[in-house]
Amino acid sequence: MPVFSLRKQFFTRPHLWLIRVIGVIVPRRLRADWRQEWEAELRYRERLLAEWDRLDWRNKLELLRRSASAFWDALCLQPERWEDEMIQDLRYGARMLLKNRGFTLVVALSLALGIGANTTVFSLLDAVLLKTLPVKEPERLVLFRLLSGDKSIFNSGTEDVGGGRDQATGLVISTSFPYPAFEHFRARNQSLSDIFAFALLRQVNVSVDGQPEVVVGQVVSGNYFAGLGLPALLGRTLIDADDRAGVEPAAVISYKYWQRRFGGDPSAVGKAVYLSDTAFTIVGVAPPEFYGTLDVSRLPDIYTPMALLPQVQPQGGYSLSGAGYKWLNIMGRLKPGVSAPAARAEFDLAFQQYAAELQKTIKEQRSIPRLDLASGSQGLIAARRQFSEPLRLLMIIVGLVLAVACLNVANLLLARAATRRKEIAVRLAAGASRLRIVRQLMTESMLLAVLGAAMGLAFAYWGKEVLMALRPLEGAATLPDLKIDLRVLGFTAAVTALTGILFGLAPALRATRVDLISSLKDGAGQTGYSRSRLSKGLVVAQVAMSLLILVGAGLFVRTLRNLMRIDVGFNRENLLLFTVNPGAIGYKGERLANIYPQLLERINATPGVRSATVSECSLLGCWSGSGLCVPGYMPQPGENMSLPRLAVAANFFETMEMPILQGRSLTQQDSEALINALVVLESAGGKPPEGFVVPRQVAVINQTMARKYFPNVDPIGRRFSFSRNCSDGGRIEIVGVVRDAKYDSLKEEIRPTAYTPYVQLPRGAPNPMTFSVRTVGDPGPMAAAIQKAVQAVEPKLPVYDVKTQEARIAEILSQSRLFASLSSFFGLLALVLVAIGLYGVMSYTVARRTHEIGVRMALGAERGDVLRLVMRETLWLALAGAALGIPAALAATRWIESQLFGLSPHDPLTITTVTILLMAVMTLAGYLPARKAAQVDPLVALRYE
Amino acid sequence: MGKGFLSYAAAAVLQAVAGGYQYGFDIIDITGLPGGTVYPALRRLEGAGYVTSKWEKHSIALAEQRPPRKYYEMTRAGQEALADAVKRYRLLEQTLLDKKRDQKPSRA
Repeated sequence: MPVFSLRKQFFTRPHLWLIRVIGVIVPRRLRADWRQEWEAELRYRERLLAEWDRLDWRNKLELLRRSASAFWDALCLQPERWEDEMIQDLRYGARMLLKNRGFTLVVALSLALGIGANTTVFSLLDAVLLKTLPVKEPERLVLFRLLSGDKSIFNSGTEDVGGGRDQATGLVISTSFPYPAFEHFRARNQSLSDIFAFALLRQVNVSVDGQPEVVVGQVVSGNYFAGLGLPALLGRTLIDADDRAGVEPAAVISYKYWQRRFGGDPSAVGKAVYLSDTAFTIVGVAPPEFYGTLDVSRLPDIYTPMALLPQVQPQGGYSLSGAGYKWLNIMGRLKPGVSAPAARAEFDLAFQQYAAELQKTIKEQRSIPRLDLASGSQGLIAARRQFSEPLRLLMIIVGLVLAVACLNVANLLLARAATRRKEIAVRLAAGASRLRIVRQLMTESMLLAVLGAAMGLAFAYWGKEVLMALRPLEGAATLPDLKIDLRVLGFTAAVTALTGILFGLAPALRATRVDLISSLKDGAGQTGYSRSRLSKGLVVAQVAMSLLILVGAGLFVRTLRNLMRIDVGFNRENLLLFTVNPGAIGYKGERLANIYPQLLERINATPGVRSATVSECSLLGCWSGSGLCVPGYMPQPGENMSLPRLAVAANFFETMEMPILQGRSLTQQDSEALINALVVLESAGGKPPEGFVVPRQVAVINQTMARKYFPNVDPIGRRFSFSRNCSDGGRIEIVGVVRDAKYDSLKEEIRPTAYTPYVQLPRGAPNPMTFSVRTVGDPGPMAAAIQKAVQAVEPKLPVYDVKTQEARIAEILSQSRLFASLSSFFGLLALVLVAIGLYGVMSYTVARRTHEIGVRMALGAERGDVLRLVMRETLWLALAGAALGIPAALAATRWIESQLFGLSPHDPLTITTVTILLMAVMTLAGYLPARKAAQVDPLVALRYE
Repeated sequence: MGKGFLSYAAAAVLQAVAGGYQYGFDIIDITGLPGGTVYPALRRLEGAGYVTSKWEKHSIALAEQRPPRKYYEMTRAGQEALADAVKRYRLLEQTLLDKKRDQKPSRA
């Protein structure tokens, strides 16, 4: 057959030339046959046409067209190429991994730890920050917000949780509205298919089968569940008909509560439970994945209709009528085709009308906020913001650990590739393309990564339980369940792929850059040198990263120790705390004030109790305050004149062991005078009768308050006011000064604080109140006895939030403890990995230089010299790593400053200690190969090639 | 393709082979489908076991100074599959009748 040159063929027989060109993309093993098939047909036809004298330009074009269609045929053959080769790669890779089982296991395990840790933390991130509500089309939901300046028209209401400021406008964000505003919106609603409202009920007294307890609740408008598009798991959800005064009270319980209190018994539906003495029927159970629309940390147990609010909260709180009192959260669902900005414009208009009406009823001119509609797909977004920083920190820590693990694996793979040099050289010599071999090595890496990921997922299932138990988020009462859902799995898959590429690519490329001739011969050759440079570079990077983690760990550990050693100002040992809420079962006024001494008497009589007291909240338990004005004290402009205060029983300071430094403590007489006044008021029907004298109000202040507002004078006998203006010349008389104690925050500086008798006019006492009981021995076991004592006085009074003071403090510190323990764990892990890495690299270096060592020893070098020679290299590596790591640590620790306490992020002691530790471990890791080198027999070494 | 249904194009190609058009370009001519459809269909049919392929005799090819051509033959399984396909694609039935009239095998 005549052979045409390609160029000639292009002009004379372009159709054949085209087949040759297209044939390039056909898989090699099919190529020859494929070309033959097409060429044969084309040439046969060409010949026939020539025979019939029909070979004109039209038919030639037709031939060309036919051969062009071969391209599609060649394309359709591509999957076969990939399939074949991919399956080949996988089988080969799997075989290789099984052959070196130990290696595979070590690699998979270190990857599993890294990937598992990342997955666990990400699932936490997902649950808190990313997850949308498990309802129908959450992206169509909107959340009503107010953007207000100072002195807004709404100045009363419940505290918003972490509202913060809008970044764009600088205005304060608030998500609460008054109930009449909600009705106003509802009447004028055009753009929303549903508009519904809800609010948190902090403590609901629930009595099931005579057993009282306190749960978290959510009060909702009738169309709440319908608007969200949430069906009931069992029974039905609340509907508009339930949200009317005078109907059968109905309630829906959460899945968790159903499991916990009713054991998942279906007969719970239809059961009657008592909420603060009113019978409610449970009409349904919410689905298990629903956790309310409140902050992520508040999971309601029970949902009740808004119209029945007075029954659920008889002691007051939220108001259905206060036009300026905001407490309600409002959400809505956009109608199809309606955009959020359009809806916002409509509601802002309605809101301005409402606010204008409200302004008419207020004397003072105040600013009117703007209405905004934010995305409601996650419910109340506010709280999530406060958790984003600790979560990000956790992700960075586990990310670093994974990086260290990857570097280690990369080094291991490099070492192994060196031992496979011959195999690769043979394959290259036999004609395999470099790309092919790199692909095959990458397949092995991916297999390792997938294996590590599979084990990592198993770790993550177990790890998330552990993480939840460690209570990672400070201030979060409970968290929704961590789930490994699709998004988390997707994250894991992405991390796995990235990992596989990261640690697989460099070794694969390096392994195939092989000098064929010298590899096919026996011998170390020169190829090792550049490989060892890469290895060493990896080790240095690992050392730097481990330094980073370890410095972080050191800082966190010391922060934890500092926090645990804080002087709280009172004796925190052997102290049991619990809370009661008599107001919820109808106590008020004088009766409410009097039940506390009765309870105290009974508890004090319980064996094992040294002394007991009661206060508005426990120390480090909550915040209650008012304004402050001290006659004669001029506040600076912008100075914060709010005063933390605590209503306490007379023996508070004694029980808490807070010494009185000046004057006297509060006494029974102070309380009794107030109680008598209460009696008088109540018998006069609430109106103060003729000649009624309000008993003098006294307070004990702390040192800081005395120092700040009464410097250089004796504060005893002085007066001040619990309001921002001193129009009454100061009604509160100071009777004593007590030593400083922490009030609500462990970390913050102690602020001026005032302590007053707990009896208040006219409501009797704050509600609820917390008891602090000092026990003789361990307070934990006393809980049951104390509960019995309470119930002996008032059987219907539930006792809740029972905790020891130490436990309460430990809770506050839980996040710090988590960081300290996790970072230490991972830091040590990284240290071990780096040590192993260094050991491996130094062993290889020694092996490579055996011949050289033999020469040196033959020329008179001592064993000590050899040792020093090798150790020098180790130290260089460690020093290089430290040189990289320390500046990185100095730069990075600035970001964690907010999590530290009592030390600077550049704390020199920590950094020095960590560096020394690292150097010591590296030295040890490098010493073993060095010792082996020094023990080499020179004769053997000289023969070693 | 496996045990699934034949696509219309594959059925048409199979029918052409049954009708005696055994060379790729002839199938292209008779079915009117382009080469980029016919050849992949032939490969799939071969993979499913409905046709087998053979190279023509070397002597013939040598005489004409060209490489041997590939030709395709029906198998028993292919005949059953074709019968099924004809039932489903009515148009095929029609063309079948047409073709039986003017058969023109071009075996070389």
